[in-house]
Amino acid sequence: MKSAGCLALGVGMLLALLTLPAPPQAAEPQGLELTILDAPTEIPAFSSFYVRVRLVNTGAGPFRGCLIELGKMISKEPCVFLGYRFWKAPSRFKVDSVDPVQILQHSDILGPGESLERSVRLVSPRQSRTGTLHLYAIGGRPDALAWVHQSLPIIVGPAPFEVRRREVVTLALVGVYLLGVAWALLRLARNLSRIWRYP
Amino acid sequence: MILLILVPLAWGYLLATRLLRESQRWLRWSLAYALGLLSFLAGVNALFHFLPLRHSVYLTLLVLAAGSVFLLATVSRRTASRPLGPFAGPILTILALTAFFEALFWQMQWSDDDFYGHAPLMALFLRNVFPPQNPYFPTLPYGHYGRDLAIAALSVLVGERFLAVQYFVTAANQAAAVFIVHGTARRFLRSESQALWAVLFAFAGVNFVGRRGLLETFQNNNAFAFLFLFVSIYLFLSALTRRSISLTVLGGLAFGTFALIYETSYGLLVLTFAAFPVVLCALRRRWRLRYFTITAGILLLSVVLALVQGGTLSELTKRRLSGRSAEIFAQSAEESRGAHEPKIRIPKPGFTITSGLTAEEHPIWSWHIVEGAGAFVPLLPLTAFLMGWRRKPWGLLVGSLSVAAVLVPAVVDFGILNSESPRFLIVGGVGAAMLFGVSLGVAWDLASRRGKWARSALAPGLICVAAVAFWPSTRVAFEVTRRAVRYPREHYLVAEEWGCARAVRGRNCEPIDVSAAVLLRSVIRKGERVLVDFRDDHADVLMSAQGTFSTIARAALAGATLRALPEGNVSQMFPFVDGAGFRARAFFATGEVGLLDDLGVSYVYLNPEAAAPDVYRRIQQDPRLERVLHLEWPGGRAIREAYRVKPALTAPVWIAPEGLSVISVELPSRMLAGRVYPVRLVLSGTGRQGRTAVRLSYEVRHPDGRLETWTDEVRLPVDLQPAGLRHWIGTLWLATPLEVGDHDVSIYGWDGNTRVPLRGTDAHTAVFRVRVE
Repeated sequence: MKSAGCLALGVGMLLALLTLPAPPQAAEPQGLELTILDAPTEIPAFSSFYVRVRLVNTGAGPFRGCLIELGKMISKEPCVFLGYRFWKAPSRFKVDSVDPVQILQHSDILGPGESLERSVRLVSPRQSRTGTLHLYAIGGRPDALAWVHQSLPIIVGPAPFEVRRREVVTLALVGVYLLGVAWALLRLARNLSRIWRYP
Repeated sequence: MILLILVPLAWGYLLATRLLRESQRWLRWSLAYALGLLSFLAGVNALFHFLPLRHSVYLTLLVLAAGSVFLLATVSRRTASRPLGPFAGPILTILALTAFFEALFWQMQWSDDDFYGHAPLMALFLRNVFPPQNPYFPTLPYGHYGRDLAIAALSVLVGERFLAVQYFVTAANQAAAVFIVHGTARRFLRSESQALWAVLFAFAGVNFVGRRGLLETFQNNNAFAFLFLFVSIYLFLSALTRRSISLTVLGGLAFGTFALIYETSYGLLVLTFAAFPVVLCALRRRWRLRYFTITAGILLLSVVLALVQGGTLSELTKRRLSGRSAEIFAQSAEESRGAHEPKIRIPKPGFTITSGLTAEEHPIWSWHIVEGAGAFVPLLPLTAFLMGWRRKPWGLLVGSLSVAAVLVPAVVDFGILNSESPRFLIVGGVGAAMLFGVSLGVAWDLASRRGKWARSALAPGLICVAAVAFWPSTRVAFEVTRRAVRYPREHYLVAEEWGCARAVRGRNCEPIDVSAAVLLRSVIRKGERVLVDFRDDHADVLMSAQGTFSTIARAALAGATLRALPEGNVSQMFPFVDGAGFRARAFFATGEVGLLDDLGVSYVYLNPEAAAPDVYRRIQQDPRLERVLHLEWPGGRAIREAYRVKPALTAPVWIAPEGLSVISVELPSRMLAGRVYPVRLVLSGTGRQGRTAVRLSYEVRHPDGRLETWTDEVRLPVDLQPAGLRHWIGTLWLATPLEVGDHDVSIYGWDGNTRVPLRGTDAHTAVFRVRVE
């Protein structure tokens, strides 16, 4: 009985393992090959920079460029796009867990065996830090995207002068606005109290 | 230099205090700003017909300074100051500050939806391109340009930073409009509370076409259009009440200049002003000739000015007088339709209003009018009646304006421009909202007169109405400010930092393109056009990228195409322009320089990695193309190049196409929309031996016959190689249509400048059908 119970438990666990959804992970590259050809090692914060990549369609079917709107995949057919994330690789492999970069127009097609080289524009994070840039070629059917990973050590230096100037100017303008509103509200309250006391 | 901005302000202030004798302090300053800006625009526009922009600006400032001295010396100031009330003051301050900063922060972060049309125009003004020229189509006339010229001219005083000037002027217009609406309403309604409710509902209480009140209606021409609409109303009513010739002249000139800014609102005001003396006489139950003479004087002066100063109305007059239907090369009704020439018809069949977004027709009494003009339009008969009953001329004037704005798009058939109905409906909605506000103010005033209890009973109801009406605007204002606090680095004042900075959809150009545009600014001269190689599936994204490049390089572009419009009404959302036209695509796919001559291109700007290697090699080696820019971004190897197009030294020779016929056409198995493919042609009948060349072109038509290439016919040389007896084989590069589906392609040959249809095997014109996906 005990062994039958163990067997039943084992079968049950096996079934449970088979039926449970697999933990999210990067699917093995299927039909895509990503190579970083050229990239800067040091970039300023909150600025654009370029990484040159080669993308090869090693699969049997063609890829179009993916249509992505507000972090959601719109495309219905096999497509490809690039995604990137600084410092920490995404734990969930979803479209909105990376910043998408269009490497192909939706109407372009990367046929089987074809490759393309592109300098893609990325934007560095707001804060300076040293770490890893995680770059992904994400492609396949929209319901079963394969993620091909490449990482790149990178140093993000301080933001350039014009970025800091923008920050100061905008915050100063916000300050003027809030002070003005506060002053008007104070005046309104004072006038109200005056009318209340001396109607 | 920046201090010279004070000259128009001083002139405006003197007009407001000495001529208009305005007693309300905030209204005085707002009028000073608005009249200063309008006078500056009128002067610059008048002089720009004869002088360069910079000279026009300085001469205008000189004239305004002399005028200020004259006013200072001759007209005495006799006005006592009337401050704002204890509630109105702080509330208006908050509203004006919000109007200013919401417009400022929004513009620092985003661009107007018509940015691609307006910003290049401002940039071209700074290159002394005047009268204004369409930045994408040199032969198409351009409509209203007052706002763009005012901003470009002002930017001369601040280092030509015209986008930053645009942000501040638009924001200042919004704030000034708050005080002008309130001050005018207060003066002519004779009630502080009614004026306050009117301005609150206009700016924050009415929601139409996705915008929440005038607070959010500042993009494109709107901030100028509404400010000067309110200024025109103020001047008209002031002239009527003051019975002064100088005010009538001032009103006429200011109103005429308004036609340069926004002709639809100008037209509505002409209708309203023309009807107002009758309304006023009926209200007062006595005839006053001066109401009619003053109105006639203002209208006459303004119409004369509007017909000669430039802009849409002047353009229409010029065409009418010269007997031309259009300055473009429209030869048929189809082409006129494509060129978006409206055919005006009165009355419009069905008495319906065309929806701007869907182009569907809706009866004027349908609920769709609430979407387009806001919730207060259905109440307009009631509120307008109240204005008559309470004998409020200001209310009747605004009510008439609102009624005209709602009726015009239902009564007048503007043809393909019917979907521009929001231009009218927004004015109608704002007017109706103001009347609703005044009605609440009337109720409040009546309750106040009946004592504390009546007031206390009404107050909660008014607070509830206000909370419901103002909540959406308040939320948007809060969100815009929150974004400024949270993302201050994404708020730009400098165009070169802003352009293409963020990698988001809608800005499909890159910082390297902006750097290249800055470098090319000094290379490109006035009148020269650039062909740029930007690509995107979405026409709006492409035009945004091209507009940014054109703005920063201050150069007109070439290569765009005007789409064939579908039959019937056309939605505002229809992409009637596509930046990557047939000839532009054909050039970037072949490197054939003859296409650049057809396009009138002086420079080609490209991303080498986007071009096919053999095409890039051909461009590099072509003796007619001289590289003037090679820009590499450090790291990542992004490259951009620009080439100057040199004139051809010898005319190429092609055989005459007479007698040629198309035996067969071999198309690729699959073709995508908006691409270029080689099409193998087999021809017969050249009557020549050996290799030769012919110049061919093609028209692309929709199956219903609409011509897709009417502004953009591709002419290409085709090398012919012998293939058997009297047969030749050649490759024609076909730029595919932009819309998926079936299309008919007709082939023509060129003998000098004469187009000859090529025959097919059946002795008719060679036409083959293509399907694009």
